[in-house]
Amino acid sequence: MHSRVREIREQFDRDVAGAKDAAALDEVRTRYLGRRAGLLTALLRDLRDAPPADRASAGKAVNDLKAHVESVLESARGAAASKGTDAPPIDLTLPGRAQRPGAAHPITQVRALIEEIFLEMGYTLETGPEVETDFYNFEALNIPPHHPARDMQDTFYVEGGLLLRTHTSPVQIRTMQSRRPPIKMVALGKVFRRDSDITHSPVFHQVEGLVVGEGIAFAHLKGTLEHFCRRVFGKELKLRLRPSYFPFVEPGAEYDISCIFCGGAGCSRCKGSGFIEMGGAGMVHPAVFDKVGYDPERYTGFAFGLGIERIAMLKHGIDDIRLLYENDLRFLQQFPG
Amino acid sequence: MRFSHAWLMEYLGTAEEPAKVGERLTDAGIPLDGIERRGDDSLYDFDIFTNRPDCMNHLGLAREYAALTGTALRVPAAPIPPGGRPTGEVVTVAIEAPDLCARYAARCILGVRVGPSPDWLRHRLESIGQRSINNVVDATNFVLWELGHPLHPFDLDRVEGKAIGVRRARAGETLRTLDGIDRPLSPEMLVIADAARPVALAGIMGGEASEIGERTVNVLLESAWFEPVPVRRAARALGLRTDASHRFERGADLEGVLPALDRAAHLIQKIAGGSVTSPPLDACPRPHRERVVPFRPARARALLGLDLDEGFMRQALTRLGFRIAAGKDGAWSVAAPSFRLDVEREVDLIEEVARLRGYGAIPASLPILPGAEDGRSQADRTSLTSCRAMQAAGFSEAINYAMVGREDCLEFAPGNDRPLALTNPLQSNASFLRASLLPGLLRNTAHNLNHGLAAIRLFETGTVFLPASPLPRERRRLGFVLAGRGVPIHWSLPRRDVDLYDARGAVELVTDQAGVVPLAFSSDRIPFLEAGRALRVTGAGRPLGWVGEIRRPILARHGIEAAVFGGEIDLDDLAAGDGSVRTYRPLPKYPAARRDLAIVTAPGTTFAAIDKAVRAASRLPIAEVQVFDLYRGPGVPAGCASLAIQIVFQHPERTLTAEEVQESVESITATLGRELGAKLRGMETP
Repeated sequence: MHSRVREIREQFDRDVAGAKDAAALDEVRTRYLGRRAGLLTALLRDLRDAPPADRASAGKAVNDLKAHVESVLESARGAAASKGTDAPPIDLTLPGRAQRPGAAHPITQVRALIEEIFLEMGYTLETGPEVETDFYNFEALNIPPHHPARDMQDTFYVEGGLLLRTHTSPVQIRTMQSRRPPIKMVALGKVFRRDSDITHSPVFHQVEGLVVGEGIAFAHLKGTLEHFCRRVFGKELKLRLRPSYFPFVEPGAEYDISCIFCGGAGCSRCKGSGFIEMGGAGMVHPAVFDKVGYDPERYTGFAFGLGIERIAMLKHGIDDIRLLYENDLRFLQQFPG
Repeated sequence: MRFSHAWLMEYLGTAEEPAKVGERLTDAGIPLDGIERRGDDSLYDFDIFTNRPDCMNHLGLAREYAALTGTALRVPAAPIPPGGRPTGEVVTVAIEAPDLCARYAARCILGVRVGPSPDWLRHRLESIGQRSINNVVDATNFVLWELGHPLHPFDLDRVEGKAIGVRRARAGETLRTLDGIDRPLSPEMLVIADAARPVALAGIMGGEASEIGERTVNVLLESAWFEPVPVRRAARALGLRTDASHRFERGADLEGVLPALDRAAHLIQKIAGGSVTSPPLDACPRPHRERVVPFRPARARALLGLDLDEGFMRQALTRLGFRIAAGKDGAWSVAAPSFRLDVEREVDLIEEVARLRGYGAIPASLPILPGAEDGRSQADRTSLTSCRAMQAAGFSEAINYAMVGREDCLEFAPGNDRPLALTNPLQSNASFLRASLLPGLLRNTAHNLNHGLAAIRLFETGTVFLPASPLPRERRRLGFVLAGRGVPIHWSLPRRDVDLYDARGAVELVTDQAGVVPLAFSSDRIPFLEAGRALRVTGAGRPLGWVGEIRRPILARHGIEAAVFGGEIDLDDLAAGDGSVRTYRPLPKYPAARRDLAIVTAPGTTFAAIDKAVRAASRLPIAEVQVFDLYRGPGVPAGCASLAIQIVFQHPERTLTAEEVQESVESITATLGRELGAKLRGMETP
């Protein structure tokens, strides 16, 4: 009896090892534990015929075997199930399925970045009309009629003595008229100039910044521009301010950043100068404060401007501004986000 | 503006490298645009701002450089030998319009020999791209580029009556200018006239009749100061911009009149002979009044945020030609030189000291001011939400010009027959301000289809312009278009083209994200949309816009053969109904019961009618009614539809029993049959 138990145990262990999947394991189970023809079932039946002296020890051996068979089958079954060998094969190299989102225009993406930088610094986002009066676009900005500075900005005129704003600076005036200092604002939006070629578009986007309060100094303008430019183009860049002339600021400046392509060593992109022009800036001209009824002795402020297209073109290496207005999907989808 | 390095160095006591000169001047606000080697010389191209006409000449630039570097300036001499005939005996000058001409000075050079210029003079002019004409004309041109003051030489013998009058032109007068063109004159224009007729356009160009020629023997040399704005107006009106008008309209130096006259007379006599009349005539109805500006060193330090010492500031201003006297309360009284017309206020002087110190010396710091709690407006936020929703729906963003053609403008703004026109458009097909975003988007659709793109989904947010007074009404809108393939190419997805429901879905998504409820669509006739494919959109009780299929003839005009669907939503109105900040609704505590119904509708029955009937007939609260299948075709009577809907029953306070759900379903099916003539096809319980 004991030798039969040993033989069956060895046979069982071989059968389990040879069973490749759940179905084969089921066969093994039936072969050993099946109610009618199971080998163990037969063994238990045969116990009745064993001599009474052996019956106790043989019974224990058979029951041990039965426990062994059940526990091995149980764990083998769990292992087979977790292998998932039941699933039919599929082609795992086929592409997946997802709704592809549309892309925001590169100008909008740069705009969002600029908005984020100034919102973090506690600025408000202001807007103003795109069709403006001569007063807001020129006169209030210290550009009287027949001022030669009007030549720099070829203006589109709209019937009824109106014009399309040539810069976002009118928003400065509207904001100062509707509020009292302190003011920290940026205005981002479309501007219009009667000019069209590879670097000029009759419609483009500008950022105008204005800070007015007590004790605002040129040094603050410099710090603000430095922070802004480094957030956009990287921590290492250097900012340079040069004297310049805009009728609505004094002292006036243009600001440049060290060339983002060569790091300032001089290359074809910066025409060997090591710097790239960014925009204009300066301290708010007291004549502008006069126009909006602020006391220029008490309040000082700074203003700055820059072109959004220019930043988008620098960031993405776009060499023709007209690409930004063709709205070719093959172009737009190069800038997911 | 071009300058010769060799010429510039004549007025400086030192020899400098051209690159260094360019760099130094750039840092001081006279930016160098380029520099070019020309033989022994270098040619600079400086960008001179409109407020610095005093730098539009070699001596002026040298003066600026000398002030920056502390080098000496050599002013050229112009000795006029005494003993000539008094100018007043040869010619008379009368200023009849002193409001337009503050000063008019003249000398005559009698007995000149007009001929070619000497080499040095020709070289100087040619080095900056000027053409040599003859010795007399070249001498005046040389002085313009040397001292900056425009002069004009007349052939004295062609000046009728030897009498110069400075007056407004008379109606009907004309003048043939030096370029041979007959110019009609108007009374706003200032002319130099002889006893009979105009002989020059004041400050702009001389007349051909009194031009210096080979036979000229006696020269009348004019040096004057004309009011800037009238010169600018006249030059613009005549389309005639000259080196002279360029300077006068920016402001010439009133005290530069005589030095320039003497310098030119001296040169003419030196190179063309003759004798110079002396003393000159100098009619000066409005002499120069020195401008004195108060300057507080402490204010300069505060405005710049830079600790400049007074010694430096004093030296900087003095080098630039300003004279400093003590003023009140520690302030300085600073007198500006006559050539610095740009200096009017204290800030102008502050810029001068900052410029000389260099902006690089100013430290960088951030201002400490209270910031805004929320810098964005509601309109900004709604616009942002809408853009994100459109992107999520697969639309990419377009940005178009605001200028469109007349037809485009009228077509998409029915009822607005007076679109806003530009008075000076760049192109005739872009001469109106858009009243809808669709024309631009259709142009983009055509572009993309023409370039072989099979699936077009574009949106734009931007301003449209509607007539109003005093300013047009500007509205922020969201527009979008769809054309071509409706689903991405994928092995698991069936092909289909976009249809109206893609467009409607975009509107539903945007309004849902903005929390605008209730949303309603109503079928309407909209002139630019196909009949039966046009919907008005209302949200939170406001008309928001439209959605539909663009009319074929409009598409044909844009060269588009495919069907195009689109819509337009007013973002300002959407923002007004924005409810994107939502209030929490408790999650259902009890399970919902779902039942599917398959029905065949009677002809003309809409889903809206079915939805309404279902909700009215149910005895239990309904959470949702959804269509999950729609079929028309063989097996379904013409005009009818086989519709499968799922009804979700949900009670807030208890679990529903199968029996009561069944009761409601039976009530619903009975109502659908009785009121809408719908037939039940089968009923399944999932």
